Amino acid sequence: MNIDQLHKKIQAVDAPAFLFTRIQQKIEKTYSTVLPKKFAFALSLSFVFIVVFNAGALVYKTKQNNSVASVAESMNLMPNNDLYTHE
Amino acid sequence: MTFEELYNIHAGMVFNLALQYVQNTEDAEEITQDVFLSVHQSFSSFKGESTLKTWIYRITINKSLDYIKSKQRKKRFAFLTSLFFDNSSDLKHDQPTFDHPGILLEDKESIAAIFKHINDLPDNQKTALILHKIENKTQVEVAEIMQTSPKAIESLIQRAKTNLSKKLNTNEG
Repeated sequence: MNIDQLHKKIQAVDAPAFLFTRIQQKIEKTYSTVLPKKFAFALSLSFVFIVVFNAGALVYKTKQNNSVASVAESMNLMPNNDLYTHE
Repeated sequence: MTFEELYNIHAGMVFNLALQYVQNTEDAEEITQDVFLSVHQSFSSFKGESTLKTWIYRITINKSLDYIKSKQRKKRFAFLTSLFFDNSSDLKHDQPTFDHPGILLEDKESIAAIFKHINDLPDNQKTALILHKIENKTQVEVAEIMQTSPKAIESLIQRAKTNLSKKLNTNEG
């Protein structure tokens, strides 16, 4: 068969009637799974807050440990309770 | 224009073009759904630089080519899986089927042979050939859809025809 005759041998067909309903269902499904902008903003804000809070707590705790260690050192105290291995 | 009106005007065109790419009703239905989902999602980004019909044509072509590629990927994966797992059923259920509802039964065999070779052509040659020789678009229309010059389309179609006739002659000989 000649390639130039191909369009004469292939008839156009109608799209199945149920397709539009399926497309509508898919569209609705897509919209229901999309996160609302306000909710996404609140979620990201709370995430940032948690990270900042944890970082702050960590910094505060490190500073406190440092001050205890420096006091112990200035008073020539042992920084631990290990009495037997210390000379 | 409502989405339903837009669908009613263009559904046939989208479904038939998808059929020329995949030659299978089920796959063409899947592509048509993807196309209209895309149209619905990105309608606000349509700038009106081309006609709505040309824009939908482009989406259909891209979706069809993507669909074919993803199907080939799945097939390769299923083949690899079947090498390692005996009970893999993916490959068995994924046989390529020629089920084009627009072709008469008496022509089915000869046209299926032509489509087998069209499917092996590079994407741009395949698209130019389908639009010009099957969808019966002029070279200028094809050039507008493929965003290139009519000269380039003429050359693409010529190369596609040469490749096809070579493959068909090899098969016959």
